[in-house]
Amino acid sequence: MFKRVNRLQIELPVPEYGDANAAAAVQELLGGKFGEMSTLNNYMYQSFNFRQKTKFKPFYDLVASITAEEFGHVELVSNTINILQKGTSFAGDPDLTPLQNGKDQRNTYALIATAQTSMAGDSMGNPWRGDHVFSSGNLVLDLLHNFFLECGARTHKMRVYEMTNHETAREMIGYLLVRGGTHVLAYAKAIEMATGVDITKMLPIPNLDNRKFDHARKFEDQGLGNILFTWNDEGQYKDIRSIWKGDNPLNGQPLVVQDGIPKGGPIPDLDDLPEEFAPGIGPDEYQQIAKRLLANM
Amino acid sequence: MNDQQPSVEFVSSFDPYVYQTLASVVGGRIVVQLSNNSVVKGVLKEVMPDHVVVETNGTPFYVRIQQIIWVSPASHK
Repeated sequence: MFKRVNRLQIELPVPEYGDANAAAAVQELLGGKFGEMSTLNNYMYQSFNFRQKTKFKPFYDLVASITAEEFGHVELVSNTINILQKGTSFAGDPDLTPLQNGKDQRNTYALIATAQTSMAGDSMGNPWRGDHVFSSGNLVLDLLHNFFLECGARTHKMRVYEMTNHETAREMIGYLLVRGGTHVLAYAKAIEMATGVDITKMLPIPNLDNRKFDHARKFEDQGLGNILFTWNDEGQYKDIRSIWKGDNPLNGQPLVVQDGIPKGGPIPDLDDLPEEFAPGIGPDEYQQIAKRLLANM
Repeated sequence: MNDQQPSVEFVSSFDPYVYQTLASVVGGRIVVQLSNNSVVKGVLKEVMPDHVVVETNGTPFYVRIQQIIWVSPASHK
């Protein structure tokens, strides 16, 4: 089962300006082939489909616990996209063409279909697809795929970071570069446990340290590159300890398994957009709704 | 090589009627359409010959008049 906590994995800065085309680029990190929806669904299906969960419990625990973290990454990237859409349109009668700026923006779905929020698709508007999920049932092959997927995801994050300097996008990418790097190492160590081959000698791919990125450095300094969380408060998934141990080959610091979840930050709220009819409830209707909700409590 | 400095002429664009009109709505809520396909919404705090100051949720935006396409009084808030 999944339990939901109403917090983001980090606090996102919410400036009073946006960049709608940056939001369109960030979509790749959500619904692209190497986006968070892909990492989530790959580990989720691999954990559902895992054979001999008891016999290979540390590997099952790894894939299962990271699934929960990836769900939070989907949430974090979606919220970033929503914050990035500020300053595109203005409130006004339809005949004033209040959505006129949307006509020349890359992601017209954001104006037409989602009221300037995230969509389950990539930076070119293609929908996320189920065939991005690889769940072969062969443990080493699935782990090798996950290692490759995390390296690809990290590469795409670095490139989107190079495309936009918007504070919210960079904060999110800085954090996910660090967490993605942690997962790359986790799968490399799992492959080493399963095969005896030391994949960590190949790290990092691309050969560029997270510390090169201003917004990643503070998360590295917090030691987030050395921690795997269990994302569970019933003492489960702890056997990742038999994989996540020793020192981090990238910084020499000890690897730590932390029970539970990080503290996180608040979920940002979104203003109403009358020109998008979202949420589409006027003050009078709101009064009536409030009256009905509060009646007979 | 050439000991005589070439004279450089500085040119500054000024839209006198834009300036005058904007100065008359200081303190009001406005929408400013910019040349990069975005809008700034907020209270017009100040008008200078080459820029205006629009404040949104306590954050001032210094907008160059040359980048303004149009300005309209805000229809809500």
